[in-house]
Amino acid sequence: MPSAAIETTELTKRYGSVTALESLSLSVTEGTVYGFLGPNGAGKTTTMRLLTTLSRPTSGTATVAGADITDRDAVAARIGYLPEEPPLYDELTGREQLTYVAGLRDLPDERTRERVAELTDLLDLDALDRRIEGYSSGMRRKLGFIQAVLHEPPVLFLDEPTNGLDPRAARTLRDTLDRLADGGTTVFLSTHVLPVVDEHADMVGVLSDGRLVAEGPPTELKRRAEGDGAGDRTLEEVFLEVTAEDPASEAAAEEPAAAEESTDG
Amino acid sequence: MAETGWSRHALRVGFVEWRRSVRATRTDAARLALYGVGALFGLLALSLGVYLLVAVAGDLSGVRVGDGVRGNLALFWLFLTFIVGQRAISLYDRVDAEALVLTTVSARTAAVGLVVAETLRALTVVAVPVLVLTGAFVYATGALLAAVAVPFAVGCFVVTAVVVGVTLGWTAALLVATVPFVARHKTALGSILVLAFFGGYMAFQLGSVGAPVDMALLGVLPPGWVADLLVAGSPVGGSTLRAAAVAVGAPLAAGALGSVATRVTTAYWYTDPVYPTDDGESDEVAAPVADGRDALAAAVAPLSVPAFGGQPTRRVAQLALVRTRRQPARLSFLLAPLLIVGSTLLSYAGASGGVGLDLAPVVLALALAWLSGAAFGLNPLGDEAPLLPATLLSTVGGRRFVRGLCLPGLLVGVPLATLVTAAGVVAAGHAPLDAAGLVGLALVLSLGAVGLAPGVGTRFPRFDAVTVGRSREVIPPALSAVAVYSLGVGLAGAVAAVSLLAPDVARALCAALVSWLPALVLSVLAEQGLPTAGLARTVAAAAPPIRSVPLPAVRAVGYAGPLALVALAGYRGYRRAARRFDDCQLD
Repeated sequence: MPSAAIETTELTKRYGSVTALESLSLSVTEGTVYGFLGPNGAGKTTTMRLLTTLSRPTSGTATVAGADITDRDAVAARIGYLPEEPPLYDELTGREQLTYVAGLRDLPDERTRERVAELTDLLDLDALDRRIEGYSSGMRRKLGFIQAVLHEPPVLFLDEPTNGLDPRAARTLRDTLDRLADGGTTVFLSTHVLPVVDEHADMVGVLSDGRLVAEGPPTELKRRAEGDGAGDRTLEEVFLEVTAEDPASEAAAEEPAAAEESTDG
Repeated sequence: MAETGWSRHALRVGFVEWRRSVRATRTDAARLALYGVGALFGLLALSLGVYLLVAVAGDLSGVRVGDGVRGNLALFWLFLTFIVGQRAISLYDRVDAEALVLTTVSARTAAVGLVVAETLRALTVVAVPVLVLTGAFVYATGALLAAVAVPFAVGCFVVTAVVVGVTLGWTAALLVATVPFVARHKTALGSILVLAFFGGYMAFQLGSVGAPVDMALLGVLPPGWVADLLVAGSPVGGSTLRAAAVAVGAPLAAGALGSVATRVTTAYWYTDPVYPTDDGESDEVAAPVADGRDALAAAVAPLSVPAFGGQPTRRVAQLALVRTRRQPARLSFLLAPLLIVGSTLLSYAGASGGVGLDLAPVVLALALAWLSGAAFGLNPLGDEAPLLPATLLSTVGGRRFVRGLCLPGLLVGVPLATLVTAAGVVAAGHAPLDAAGLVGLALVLSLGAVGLAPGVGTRFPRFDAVTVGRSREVIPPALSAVAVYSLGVGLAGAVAAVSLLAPDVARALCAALVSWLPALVLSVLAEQGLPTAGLARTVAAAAPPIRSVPLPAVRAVGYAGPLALVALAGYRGYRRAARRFDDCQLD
């Protein structure tokens, strides 16, 4: 039976009197794509920063690929991370950037060359020998994605990975996510592009005001919404419903357990 | 804990960071030009150094390293440490591409990498001069051991200064991030620190020309003992014990402090920052707008921006005032040079028993006039940063935009400079004519500065931000803009002030610069066989007529001329800034 690649228990983060994330408990199965949704300011980036060890939780625990998030070095060795703004050095060329990152990961030179060739070919990223400062936003994102998966991490955190990509590149990247998941990589995907989640995620979690207000497979969430008697629902409608700022959202907030139960079952 | 092979990774991080800074410098033409000028002077100094080394090499056998030399070296080490500390807190308190680096290597690796990068930057500057001087020293004295001892001593000197500076800078950053009081008053505390440091620095510097503070006192500090290591194996006598202490102690101290630095920075990087209001004080809230004022007008209250420039101009002015008020760190970069000048003056006054009081109104006039322009207009395009496209596409237009930038300086800076200078001349007891002249100087100079600043600032814009404290990014003016603007305002003000208060000195300086100095250079060239002897005589002949110019004429022309020029430069600066805004391309 597949084990959990990411597991959080009552994970909470407070900045002074502001609670950015409250008692997040979730489990992401190995080799799956987990779609992480939420309105702006819901706490998605905070969660990503906690799970990638860039920030420390106020309380609660979490493990990533079996490593506790308090053990930064162990987590770092097992993850790849593409934040919303790809972390790149404008003064370097694309190839220099990838060589640098591979060096920090102790990837053998030969393997680095193979991976760079394979991934740049896959994502159609040419101009690797140009300075990054001259890259378009799509090229920057492709390069950021390549450096995140270069070392074949077991867990991959992606924040809006298709932002700025043309339709063909976006499709290629989404297909790559499926391939990575088929190969055993766990993908934790935060995005506002709901059709991407609908199509590729095995499991969806919806965060609102720092709390997980819905969780389950996309089909399950839609089916549950249809159960309200409103007919066919899209994931977008489900999202709008569970994150709505009205009493209905309070009710929706109590749903995750139910959704999880049905999933487990 | 750190990952396996962390030291190798840290070297790689350091090398890449260093290479990035070199590339960034290479693509910045203005900065490159400034470095070029610096290198030219460095080359001259280096040539002189080599010449002196070779010339005196034969007479070194009786010479010994004294506490004065050690003190000078220790003071320079303190200066270097201070500069590194300032850079650490403002330029690299966090690692670039943090989400990449900190999820790839340990924080310790990243921190050590930053220290390595800063060390490489410092060594890049000193490498060539040190190698040349070492070569000359070895050649002149025949002391082969110096070929190893000198580079090693310089290495110890640089590495310890970098490690200590970085540790102090990151500790300060950690305090700003964790202590609400420090976070709230960081600009004031930073200013006091700069004032205290440069006050002390200048006190020791002036000590070398007869003031009560003796440079030799600093000779007890271990960084000064590097002098003893520098002369090891040469005919110059030094303390073997001190040299050995540096050779053994410096690497150990660097390692120990490096460990402290990495702990401090790791704590800093993973600490949730406090904000100035975290200890209970309520945050600033927008003033109520019940009295008919709009939100921006209320935000700048009790100041009021008149509407004579039209609504867009008024809005630009109000925005400039609000942003400066709410983010005073924007001014901290401008305060540093002022504090350095101020602390120098105070040290001078202290060392000379109060002579500096006469100069106080002059310094106040120059400093406040300089600040009138620099505070709001020295980086107008960069200050707009992400808003620039929207501003360019608005209907504000260049003239109205630049007028808006000038308004705060005219409303706040010019009156302040004039009134404070007036108070200064009264306190210093200047004669009525001198007093009126100094107040006029403050008025005209500040008016010119207000127009000149956007002119220079649009010519040398800067768009890359610098972190101040934690998660507060500030875009300071470009170094070249500060240099050009300061030269213009400072030179005009200084010439006018000297002409006003000491016309005989102004006349002598003029004669020296126009006649004696060029004549001296031409004479030296003539001795080398160049046909410049005639020209030297002609130029030298210009001195007597200059010295015979009546002092009232020197006073009038020397005072009014620079001020007229700076006023004209202000007007042209304003016009050019407006044109550059209209022609601005976002490439």
